[in-house]
Amino acid sequence: MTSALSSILKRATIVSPFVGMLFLLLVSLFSTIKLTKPTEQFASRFAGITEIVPDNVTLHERRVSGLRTLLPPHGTVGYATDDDAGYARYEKYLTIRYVLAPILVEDSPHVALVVGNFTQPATDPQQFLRQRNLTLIKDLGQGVLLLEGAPR
Amino acid sequence: MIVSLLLPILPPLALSFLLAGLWGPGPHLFRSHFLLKVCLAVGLALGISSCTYFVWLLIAGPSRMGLIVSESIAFIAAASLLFYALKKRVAWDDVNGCSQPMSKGLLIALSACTLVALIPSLTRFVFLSLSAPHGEIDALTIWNLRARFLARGDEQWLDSFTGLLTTRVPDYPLLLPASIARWWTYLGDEPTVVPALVAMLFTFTTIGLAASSLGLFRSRGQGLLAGIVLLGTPFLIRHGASQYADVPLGFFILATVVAFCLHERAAGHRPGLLAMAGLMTGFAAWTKNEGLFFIPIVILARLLVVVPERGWLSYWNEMRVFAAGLFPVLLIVFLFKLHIAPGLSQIVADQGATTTIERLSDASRYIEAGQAFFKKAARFGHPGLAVLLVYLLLMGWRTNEADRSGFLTTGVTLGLMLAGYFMVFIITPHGVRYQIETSLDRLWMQLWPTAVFLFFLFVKTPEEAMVRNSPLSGEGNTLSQVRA
Repeated sequence: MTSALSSILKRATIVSPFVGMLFLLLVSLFSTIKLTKPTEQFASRFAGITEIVPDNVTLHERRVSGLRTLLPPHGTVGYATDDDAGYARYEKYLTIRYVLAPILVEDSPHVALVVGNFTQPATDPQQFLRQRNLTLIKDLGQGVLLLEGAPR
Repeated sequence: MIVSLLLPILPPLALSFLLAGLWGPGPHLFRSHFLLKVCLAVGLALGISSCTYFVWLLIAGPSRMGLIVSESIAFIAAASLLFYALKKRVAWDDVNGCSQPMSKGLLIALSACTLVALIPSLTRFVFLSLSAPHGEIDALTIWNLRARFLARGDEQWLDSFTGLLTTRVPDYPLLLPASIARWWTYLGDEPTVVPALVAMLFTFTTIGLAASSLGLFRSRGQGLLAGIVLLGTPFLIRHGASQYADVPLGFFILATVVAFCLHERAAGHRPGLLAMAGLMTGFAAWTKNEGLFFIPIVILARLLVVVPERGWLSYWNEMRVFAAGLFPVLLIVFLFKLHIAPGLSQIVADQGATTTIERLSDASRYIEAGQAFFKKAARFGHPGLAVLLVYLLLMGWRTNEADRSGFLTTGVTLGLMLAGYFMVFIITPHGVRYQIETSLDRLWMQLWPTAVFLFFLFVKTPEEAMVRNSPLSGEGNTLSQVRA
């Protein structure tokens, strides 16, 4: 009994490194298969290739590109939006802040120049501006407006 | 086009490679342990160039030509000094950690597996970078935003350090933003490929550093296995591509312990490795605030390891060389923190004697954080600690006397870092649940490459484990031997 057990353990000692390596390799390589998933999604998304859809930040960058020539190279501008309060609104504000750098964007309409970012189709811009004492300077399209800020 | 894109990083990379060659292992300057030296050089290059760029901004303000000319002069002068030092370089014929040769077939199989793991990882990294070229939300609000202000700000580059742009961490340091901004300044353009490339360099050199250093300390097979485990950690690839600073910080933590392990192996032949450890520790602090916390931990870990073994004098001598590498970078970090950063991180600023004591004495915080830490420990990485534990039991473990101090340094550093992070969860002003949800994964990621390095330093190599009735069997243990 003891010698049988000893023999099994001896064999296990010999086999276990192979089992160990195989086990580690399989688990690691299996997890790399997971890595291919987004690639497949990406490939299938563009399989028909009609146009390459840019990421969200690049889209914002294009939307506000017209503002660049109208704004000073430095300084602070305000920000007004029809987005509901919440994380989505905050995320859009952060994106505008990023794309307009090195201009500082203050999340307030009480600055001399204000960037208006309208994304809700139901919003009546005229009414929105009246309610907040903002004056339209230029409508750049796609919901981007340059506004004169409301006094504090 | 590719050459012109890479041109800004080539001079600091060449300089850093000379430095890695001077201090690094092997009889040959370039050929010996090439991958290890390249990986160390990439981290050094990004760290050094971010410092030179920041110092240039402080001294002379933004001037592209001025930056290029002054950096070129500085790099040429430093390279000349290094070439002079290289003549006096003492050859260090390092001995591979494993005395058992690996069969060619197994080595080819492991190399093939590494390639199989590398291709989807690289592909995924590229596709993730293409789908979010500006990075994820922290990259937009901290790292790349700061890089844009530094590169575009002209005389107003300090504008990014006003209260308007502050987040909860207004004093996050500038290794990443300054590296990216410097690269853009050299190019005279702001291609989004630059931050993605910086992220890719850090992600894959972390894996390369773990694999190549283990290849030296233990065996090539061991290094390849460690590389496969890291490549098989999807979060490492995904988080690396998000352009956050956790993977770069993880690189510098790993590079520090690798430098200490190399120093132990060199047995006095390469005191410069201690200066390299100091530099890497400094760069960790220049990358993220957690890196500042890493400094006292490294110093304490070395004290706990070196003093009992070799006494205070040896520790003092070691720390002097370590400080020579650390202090120049630390000076820059403090200059930034004290004179430029617009405030302190909320996690520090919101502490008070009463509130901190209240949090420290709240048992529910310990339970909540403890549960989250244990759950994460079991599942983290894709192979995860549970899988590594099974592997350890099957392969057995072996302690090599030559690596004992390096192993202990790595283990103590990792343990203290984990304990420190745990305590941050206890005293956080944001609530334990919020801290767990927003940062636990990222904190683990900072330590995961070092944990994998430590694990493979400890576990038997495939070569050792496969030797029947090995003469080494007396030095090591396996589950079956323990049972028998």
